[in-house]
This record gives sequence, C-alpha cells and structure tokens, in this order.
Amino acid sequence: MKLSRLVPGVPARIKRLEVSGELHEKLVGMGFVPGEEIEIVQVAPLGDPFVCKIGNRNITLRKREADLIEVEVVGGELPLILADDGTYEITKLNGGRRFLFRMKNLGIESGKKIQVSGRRYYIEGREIDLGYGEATKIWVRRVSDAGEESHPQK
Amino acid sequence: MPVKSLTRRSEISQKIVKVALAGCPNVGKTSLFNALTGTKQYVANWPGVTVEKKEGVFTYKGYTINLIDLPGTYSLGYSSIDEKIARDYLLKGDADLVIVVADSVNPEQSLYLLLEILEIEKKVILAMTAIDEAKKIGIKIDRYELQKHLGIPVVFTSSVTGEGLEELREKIVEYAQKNTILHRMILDYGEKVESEIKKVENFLRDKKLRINPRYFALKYLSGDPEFYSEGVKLGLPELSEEERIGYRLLIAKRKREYVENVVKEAFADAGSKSLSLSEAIDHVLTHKFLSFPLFFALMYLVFKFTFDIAQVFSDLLDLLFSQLGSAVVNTFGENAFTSLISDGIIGGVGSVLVFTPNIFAMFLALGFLEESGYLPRAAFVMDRIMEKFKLSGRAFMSLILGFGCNVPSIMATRAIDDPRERLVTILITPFISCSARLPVYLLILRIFFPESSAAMLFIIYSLSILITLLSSVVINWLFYRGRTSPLILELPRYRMPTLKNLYIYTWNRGKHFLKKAGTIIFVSAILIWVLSYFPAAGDIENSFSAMIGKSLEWIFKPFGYSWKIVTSLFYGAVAKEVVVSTMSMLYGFEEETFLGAKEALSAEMDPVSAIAFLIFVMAYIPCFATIATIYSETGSLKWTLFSIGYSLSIAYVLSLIVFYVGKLVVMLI
Repeated sequence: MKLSRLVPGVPARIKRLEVSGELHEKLVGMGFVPGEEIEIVQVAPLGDPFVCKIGNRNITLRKREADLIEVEVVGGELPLILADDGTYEITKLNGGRRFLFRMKNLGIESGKKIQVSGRRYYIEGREIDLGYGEATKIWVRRVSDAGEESHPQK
Repeated sequence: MPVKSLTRRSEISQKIVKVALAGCPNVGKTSLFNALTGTKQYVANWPGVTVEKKEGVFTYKGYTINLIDLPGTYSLGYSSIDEKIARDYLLKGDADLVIVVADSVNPEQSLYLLLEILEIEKKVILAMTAIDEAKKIGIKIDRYELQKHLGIPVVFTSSVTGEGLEELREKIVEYAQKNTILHRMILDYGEKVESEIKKVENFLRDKKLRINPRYFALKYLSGDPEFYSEGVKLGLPELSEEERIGYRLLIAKRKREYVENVVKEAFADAGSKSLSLSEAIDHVLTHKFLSFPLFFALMYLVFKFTFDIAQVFSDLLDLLFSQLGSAVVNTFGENAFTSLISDGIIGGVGSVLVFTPNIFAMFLALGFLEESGYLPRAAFVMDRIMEKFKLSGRAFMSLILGFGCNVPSIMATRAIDDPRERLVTILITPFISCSARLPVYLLILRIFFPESSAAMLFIIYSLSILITLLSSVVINWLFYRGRTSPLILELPRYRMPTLKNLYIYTWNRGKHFLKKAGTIIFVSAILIWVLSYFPAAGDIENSFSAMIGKSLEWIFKPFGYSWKIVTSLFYGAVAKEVVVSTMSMLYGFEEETFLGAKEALSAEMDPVSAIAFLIFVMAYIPCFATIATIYSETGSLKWTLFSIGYSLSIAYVLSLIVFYVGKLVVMLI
C-alpha cells in the first residue's frame, strides 16, 4: 500500500521506496528507511501535505512523494478503508454517539464479520453503503482470504 | 616594552581556536551561538561563494575562540546550497573542532547528523541543548552512556539558564589543545559493505586525497553526487543505480539503528510529555478548519503590533527631529550651511529615522514567529496554496521574512533544494513589501487617508502578496515548467523564545536599518541636498534635481505627477526610504512637519493618484542592497537585469490600471 493511502492514526511500516536519485537520498537522510515504523499524525487543511511520525520526529511530506513510499500496516487491526479484499472481523468503532447509532442501524457492531470486495462492503450477504469517513472509523482484523466465504457477486 | 607586546601578541595569535557549530535546523543552534558569543557577531562571506557566513568571537582562559555558525542541515547531503556550504566547510575548512548541537528533548535526527560528521573525522563535541526543558519533563540522560557509545565529549547545556556553557567553553579549550581525536568510533556496516569499503580504501591509498578514505568510500558507494562522480573519475568502477541505492539504504539503516540504540541506552523517558504538549498545540495551529483563520489572525497581530503600538514612538521621534531642525535654523540663521544641516541632513535622515520603531517592531514580531517554531507550521499549512502558484511551503518561509527586509529573505532561499524554485523565489521576493517601504506608505496614507489608513495599508500589502505570487506563475510560465521541490521538513517542538534571543534577532536585523540611515541615506541626503540647492543657490525650481525630475516628467504624464514626485521616485531607487527624505527636502516641509507635508502634497495629488503612487513605490524597483543580493545569490547579471526591468514594467502598468480604475470609481460615485 502506498503511504499516500494511509489514514491518520494507523501505525505502518515502510516496505520500500520507489524512487531514485536525489529524492531517494533526501528521503533516506530524513529517516524514510525500510523497516522504520511510520504513522500519519496530521493532514493540512487542504488535504495535502501531511505530517508523519517516524520515531519521535514529525516530518512533513506531500502526497506526491508519499506516492513513492510503499508501506504495510503493522499489527492485526486496521481501518476498514485500508482493507484489501477479504473477510474481516469488526474490532472497534471509533466515533460519537450518532455514528454508533447509524452503524447499529446498518448492522455494524463489534465482533461481526464483514466482507470486502472491490471497495464494496458486505455483512451477512447484504451490501452496505459506507462513506469514506465512516470506513476510516471502523476498525477490523482480517480473518480469512477473499473467496473462502461466499458473498454475492457484484 | 615594544618587544614585550610583540611576544604577547604572537602568543595570543597561537591561541586562536576555530570552532564550527553544526546542527539540524531549529534545534537551538542559534540560541547556543548567541549564548556563547553574545552580541559579538559579525557577518563574512564563505570562501569562493559570496554567501553570508555568521561568525562570533569570545575569549576564554587566554584563548580567542572563533565560532562559525554553519547552516542548519538535517544530514550531510549535497542538494541544497546550505548543505553544500556546511559539508564543504566540515570537509575542507580550517575548523579546529566541531560542536554538534542536539536537542535534548528530541535528539534522533541530530544524532544521525552527528554520526555523519564523525565519519569526516574531526574533533567533535556534542552539546545537548535545552537540558533544562528535558529535566523539567523528566527526561534523564546518561552522559557516560552517550560518551561511551559516541566516543566524544558530551556537554549538557541550556541557553536559557546558562547551564553548561562554562563547561562547554572549558571543553573547547581543553580539547583544542589535544593533538589527537579522543576515541575513534567506527560504525561497522556489516560484511557486505565493509568489504566494499576495504576495496575502495585500498584503491584510494596512493591517490593522496585530503579526505578520509573511509568517508570517501561510504559516500561513493551510496552514490553521493559529488563523491560518486569523483570516484568514477579516479577510476573506481561504475555502480548501477540499484547497487548505489542498496548501499545507501544499508548505511542509513545501520546509522538509524545505532542512534536508536544510543537513545535507548542513554535516555530514560524520551520526551513523551513535552512532545504531547507540542502535538496538542499543533493540533490547533495546523487544524483542518482553524489553521487558516489562525494564520491570518497571527499575521494581523504582527501588523497591528508593527503599526499601532510602535506608532507612538514614531510620533515622538518625528516631533524631536522637527524641533531639532528648526532649532538649528533659529540659532544660526538661514543660510546655505544651516539649510544643509536642517533640510538636508536632519530633514533627510530624520524623516527616515522616524520609522525606526515600526521597523524594529516588525523584526521583533518576525523573530517571535521564527524562534517559536511556528514558521515551519505556516509553511506546512500554506504549502498547497503555494503550489498553485508554482512555489512550495519552503519558499513561503523565506518570503514571509521579506516583510522585514528583502535581503535576508533572499538569503534564506538557500535552504530551497530545487535550484529553479530558488531562482523564482529570489526573483519574486522584491515584490514583498519590506519595512523600508513603510515610511512612504505611512506618510502618504496619513495625508490622504487619515481615517482609513490601516485598511488602505492592508490593501497595499495584499496587492504586494498577490503580485509576488502571480509573478511566480508568470516567471514559471515564461522560463520553466517544472515541479516545485518536495516539502520535507522536520517540525521542531514549540519553544518560548527567550528575551535574549529576540533581542539579538531584532537588533542584528534592525541595526542594518540604522546603519543604512547613517550611511546610504545620510550620503544620499547630502547628495540630494547638493543637487537640489545648486546651481541656483536655493532656488529649487532651477536646481539639478528639478532638471532630473522635469526630464523624466513625461513618463508620469498620465498620473499628473509634478517633477518633485518624479525626482523622489528617481532617488528612491537607491533605497525606498529615500523617497520620503527627498520629498521632505524638496517640499521643505520638515519645518512644520506633518501639516506642511499635507499642504504641499495635497496640492499635487488627489487620493487616487496618491494610491497609484504607493502602488508604484511598492513594486517599482528592488533597492540597491537587494539588487546586489540578487546578483550575488543568482550569480547572473541577466537575472538581475530581468528583475529590474520586470519590476519597473509591472509597477508602471499596475499603477496605471489602479489610477484609471480609481478615476472611474470616483466619477461614478
């Protein structure tokens, strides 16, 4: 996954830099080294650039450069928005009362299973319509690969 | 007696220690520099390049210590001019030892830089600054662990409380006397890299390089632009891009691991509390919705401070100078000599000096923004907007300093990596309305817009920013179609600026203005007086100044400006303040100060032509000092001439538009 896709508050690890030359040197000098843990902590008002945290340091970066950095989420849990195709268990819902109320109406609760397939979400075979913001507040843990459990075709 | 003094002198000359101060940007390097040297600082040029170099001197135990402030860099790369200066000086300069400054609360990047500098193999002392803050939030640092792992003396300092400064001075003198490096720490990069290093070292053995072969090998392997090409030139094998990247990553990774290990061993509770406070402030200041309003509110405060609060002092000075002028005439009678003193010198220089409080206030406010650590945040928040104008947040940081003075602002562009973006930033900087233009605005606005001068000032400044940004688009469109350089900055933690640092910041920059008043303005005031008094012995209508003004009057025909205004603009090309001092002389209005000026000028301008005049002054030409800086920083006569021609045409066209639109509006109402 590209660093530019990562959402704030999710710890990830740098896998590799897909860049060469001067920019590579610059990034490496600032600590963008494969293996380092990285987290986005703040996004600028217009959505770009953002601040990411490596170790104890806060470093600014633009989306354009973040596109060149490949990362993977560490730990088992991640927001639904970052989930690749597969089946996941909902672990927590990070939001206010209204958000929780809407999620309950949609049938989204901790412990339930949710399937992801091509940016669409299914619970118990039902397709669920989720916004970007909502999908960042739902945290999940992968339970199995796509295809193991059946879900309706698009 | 002469013999004795001679020996003493030679003794002293042997006891000069040259110390380079290195560190990342915003770690408190300047504070430490100030704490060690006080106000005994001077500015020289780096050898070979006409780039400003800050030095300071202090004496300790009979030693004269010459402290050189290197530009702040995150690592010793070779992309920005700042990095090149710092690295070249460390590699080839004549420093006896190097002090690396690290922030005690957040030391990681500083320690990384330290490891790079250690490989150059100089005598190095590590100064852990802000130790008082680290203690306050409960960070414990084990000095002996640090010394053990790094193999160099470590001193804990605080520029606020003064802790450790004495010890640092002692260490400098003590270490400078030693002939050898205390302990050579060599990082082991693992078998693969080490065997390659051996090969390169063997190859370089008979090449008689002045640079440590191990350092050369490391830089060559990681594909550093300077050392890789030099290595290949010497006959080392060419490496593929993947190989170079591979070595670079291995080397950087090893350094990061080592730093991590040092921090783990030597630091207890690495700064969670202070950082969380800093993050809390950041949460507000870089907030999605709040950051823009807060940014503009801060800017408004800066201007409010500069104009309103300082105005009281300006008015007092104004009164003082006018009293002085009339006192001279009253005491010695009216003749050529008293005219020179009162109209020429007191009137000319005084009319400029009156604005000293405003200018110092402006620098004080800018100093607060810079020292507190807010500027990188402003760069972060504004980056996206700047990108629309083909600039980056980094350019924004230097541009904002231009409100004080364009010269340091142009110098600050050295931290911009991309040479094209740097050039564009230099070329547009003169449109940022510097404090020297303030006297002209304030004079004219107080005459024509006494009720709404603050609002008009705001419009002028907005226009200045707009022209600056649009010029970037124009220059980019004319000459380049490149991308802006990436915005990769470490956000420092917030710091409360100390009074001492603010004082030094304000004084070092403000004194430039005073110096200018005592030199350029003083000399030009006398010159202008001579040109205005002769050849007709005081009959200004037939003076040389009148001839100059009248011969150029046709250019400003559309505006209906008299020759006096034209002459003021002509002389004002030296420095914008001169516009005011020339007017003061030509209209002779210093005798009754403000009222006299009002009468004289309102007879010749109306509010619309006054505004057009201000717009023209805002944009028309960079002052002599700025032109010289543009030339030395770009090293190009072509771009310097471009800057002059471009600004003159923009100023003319723009003020013409403002003039006609203004006339139209007045007609319609």
